[in-house]
Amino acid sequence: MMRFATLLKNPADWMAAHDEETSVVLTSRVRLARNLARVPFPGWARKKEREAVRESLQSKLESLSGMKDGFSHELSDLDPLQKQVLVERHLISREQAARSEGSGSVVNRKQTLSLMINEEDHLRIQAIRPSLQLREAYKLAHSVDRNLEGSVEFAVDPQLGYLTACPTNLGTGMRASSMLHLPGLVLSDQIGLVLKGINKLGLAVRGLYGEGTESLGNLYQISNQSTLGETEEAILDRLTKVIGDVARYEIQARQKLVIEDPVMVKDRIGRAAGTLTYARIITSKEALNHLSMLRLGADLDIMPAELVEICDRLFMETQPAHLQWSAGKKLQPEARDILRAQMIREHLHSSLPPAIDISGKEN
Amino acid sequence: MKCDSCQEKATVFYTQVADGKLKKFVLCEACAQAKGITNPEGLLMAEELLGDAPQKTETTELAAFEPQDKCDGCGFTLENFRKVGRLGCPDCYRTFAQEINQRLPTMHKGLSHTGYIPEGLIKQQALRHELSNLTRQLETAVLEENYEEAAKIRDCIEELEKGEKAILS
Repeated sequence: MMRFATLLKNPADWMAAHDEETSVVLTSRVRLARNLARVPFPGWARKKEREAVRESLQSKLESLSGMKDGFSHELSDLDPLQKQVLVERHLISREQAARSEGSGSVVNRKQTLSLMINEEDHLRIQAIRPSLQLREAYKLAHSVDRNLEGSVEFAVDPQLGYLTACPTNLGTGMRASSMLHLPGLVLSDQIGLVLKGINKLGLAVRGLYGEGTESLGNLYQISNQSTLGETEEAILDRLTKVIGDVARYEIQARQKLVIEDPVMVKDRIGRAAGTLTYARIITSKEALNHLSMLRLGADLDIMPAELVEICDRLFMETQPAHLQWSAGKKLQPEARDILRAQMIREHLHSSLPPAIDISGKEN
Repeated sequence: MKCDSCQEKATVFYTQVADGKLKKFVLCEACAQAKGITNPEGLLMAEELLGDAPQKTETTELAAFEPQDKCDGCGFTLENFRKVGRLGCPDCYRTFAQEINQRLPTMHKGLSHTGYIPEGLIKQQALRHELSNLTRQLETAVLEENYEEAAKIRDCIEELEKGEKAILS
């Protein structure tokens, strides 16, 4: 069984992939909500019932062919920091981190599959792929679903499909989403219009960490809202088309900005580079917003190309829990901001060395 | 098909609609006699007829017309649902069907599932469909006093029921 530390040492394979495709669409995720027939949903089940569900599911999940040598834990065995790290990696949800007893997480070695036990539903099968690959992510999640069918009886109604704790997930139980980096649409003030259009198509737009979170670093998640009345394929096709369109608008917006307002674009990117290479204290929010600009600079060939990958890594590594995990201890926000600035400088040093060394004796 | 009251072969098929509820049950000759079903004057409420007999009766189809405020399966209440928007267990979908059906159009593109369902369930559904067809044919055959045909159909039903048990177990 893989240890927590090993999981953290390795970036997920969807974090490492980089090419043209990932310049706008960073990742695609598909999750399927499943529940056991005739068993109360986790939110209403007694502790004993939840514990029984976790035990029976966890061993079945661990023995799935793709999950061997993966990470498998009861969440109550993890400390709050470890749980927060998993949330930042999108391997468990914020809701699940808060709900500990009888809850479990099984993640494969490549971190492309994350199985959550007793989150809002008994089981949530999540698959993550880089770039716009919703269909591939679905295939991966679906294969786990099918493998489990033989040994688990899921709650399914012929009319309503898969039965879920919340009726908003009814039917396919499928939520598919992509994470998009949209600085071009934000800088050209078109983002409001685009988001409104997406909403009109019956799709949801959220911030970095899902429901109720604000957009940071110009990162947006687009997902389906309706789960009943359409096939999985129809939902995935529509999402793929809309997300592809948004990605094209973003590229057009970037090209237009470079032609029509090159000074403004370079000013924003240059300021971000300056702050990130010289700052000694930086909050997570400020870091995300500057890293977003730096990544844009790299995508536009204004900055060295390798910065795309470095920025994506830093998006994750500078999050509060990841930062504290790498420091090996819990840190106060002020200490985190100092460590974050230091980590960013170190990562950027080879591509963007500061013209003047101001470090002196301190760090 | 077996009698709802004892384990004998069923030959009497009874359907009652009362208070917006559909009840169906099957009985053997002896039980039907005992409960007065063979006497048209004796067609009373199903409850009175069956008393505490095992409830194989189908009430689901019209269940939506009779709102219930607590789930028999898990004890979750309609009030809970109105408060948190979530349900207690898979059976709550049946218990609170009326309330849920009212909300579905605001959440989803359609009202019935068209996506993937487990293979076992497809087989099971096909079987159930076949069974209900045969039961109807059996009723007709009995009505027409075509007992030879009825016996054949009854045997078919028994075979299928064995198959259903095999799928479920």
